[in-house]
Amino acid sequence: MSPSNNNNNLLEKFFLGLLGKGEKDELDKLKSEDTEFAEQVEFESDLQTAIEANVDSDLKSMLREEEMQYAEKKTSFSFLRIAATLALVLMLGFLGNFLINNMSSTNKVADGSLFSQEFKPFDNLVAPITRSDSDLTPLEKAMSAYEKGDYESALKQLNQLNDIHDKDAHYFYKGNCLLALDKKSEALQELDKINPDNPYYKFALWFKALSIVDTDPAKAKQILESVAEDKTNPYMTKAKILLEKIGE
Amino acid sequence: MSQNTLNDSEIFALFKKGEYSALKKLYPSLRGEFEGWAMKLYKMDTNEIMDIYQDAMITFYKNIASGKLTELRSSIKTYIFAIAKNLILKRFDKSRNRLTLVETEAELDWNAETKIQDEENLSHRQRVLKDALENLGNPCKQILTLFYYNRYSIEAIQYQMGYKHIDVVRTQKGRCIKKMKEEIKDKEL
Repeated sequence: MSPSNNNNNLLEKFFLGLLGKGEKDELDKLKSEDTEFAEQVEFESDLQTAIEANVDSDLKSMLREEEMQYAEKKTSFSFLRIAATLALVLMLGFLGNFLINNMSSTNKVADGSLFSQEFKPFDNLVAPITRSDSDLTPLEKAMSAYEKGDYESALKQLNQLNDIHDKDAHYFYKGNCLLALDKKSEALQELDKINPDNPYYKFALWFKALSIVDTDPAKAKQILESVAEDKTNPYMTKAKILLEKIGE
Repeated sequence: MSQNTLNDSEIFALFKKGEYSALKKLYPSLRGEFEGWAMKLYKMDTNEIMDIYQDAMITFYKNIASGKLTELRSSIKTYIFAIAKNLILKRFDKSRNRLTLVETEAELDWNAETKIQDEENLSHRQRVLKDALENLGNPCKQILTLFYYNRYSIEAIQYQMGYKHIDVVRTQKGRCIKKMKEEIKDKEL
């Protein structure tokens, strides 16, 4: 094979991702010794990136158009149909509101605790469930139970996990399970273990405050004040509202 | 996948051949389910969700077309949702005001390398080349796309485009590259 043919052969293999170890070394050597060859590799690499960008943007335009057509179809419902849907939604809304108000006032009477008014288990972000139950990993199975509100089972499965990638996430969701099961002091022990550098820490502060808000409001207030001052904490507004409630 | 009339092997074959129409056909089959899933888990608005969905679909297409993905160990839905999850987490990470947690998935280990080429990240020469490609006719555009995007060997291009000999393909490809060089000669900085 002539040197030129050999160079072309190397280039072809390079762009097809088929270079062996020895060939890769050969290509690097050629690039360092032959400026023209190095420029050719660089040009073709740029061409490859440009082609990728070209195809990607064509595909994006095509899918955006698909999306627009979908949206147009969606808005082409008849006025009557929309009106009927709105009427139904309004009726259900009134009914729902009525029931919720009644239920929450019943809760306040029955419990009266700030915890029960404010606590809502944190969404499952650690292992979103996208498969059927039979295909799930142990963590996904635990979080599937969590999503279904079966906190007893979720906690049991979380305790049995052997392979834990993110210990802080593990403490966080165990803490949430324990709060949902009304085991507040155990929940606080789990939440206290979370490393301040972990993204869950900010959320954990809110749940720590909730775990003690009815038993040690002064301490809860301290934690909530730090949450309320942190503009990057998604619980900032909720913390401010709860602080007002504690002050009442 | 009830609305999708293509099975997995047909999708692989058509994507590998560079058939955009197959992607268009696949698009609506998971759209509704994806919107519900992302809305529930990540509290994003519909435009943002659909943007991610489109990028996940393109990444899926690109992985097959370029030969990086030759078979699936899961369903197409699981695979696309997993790509989307990574894309969402990357965006969250960029905005830095939302949760950033990455659950690694073995199937996507190599996926970090696959990215959609964003115009903003192109160098000047790459941008000029991209513009020049808009005006490039066939067979050059087809040959270059099959080689650099779909990673077709010269022999595969010969077969796909009906050339009599691989040397003809090589010569034609060389001419196309030369043409591109000439096209951008005066436009480079």
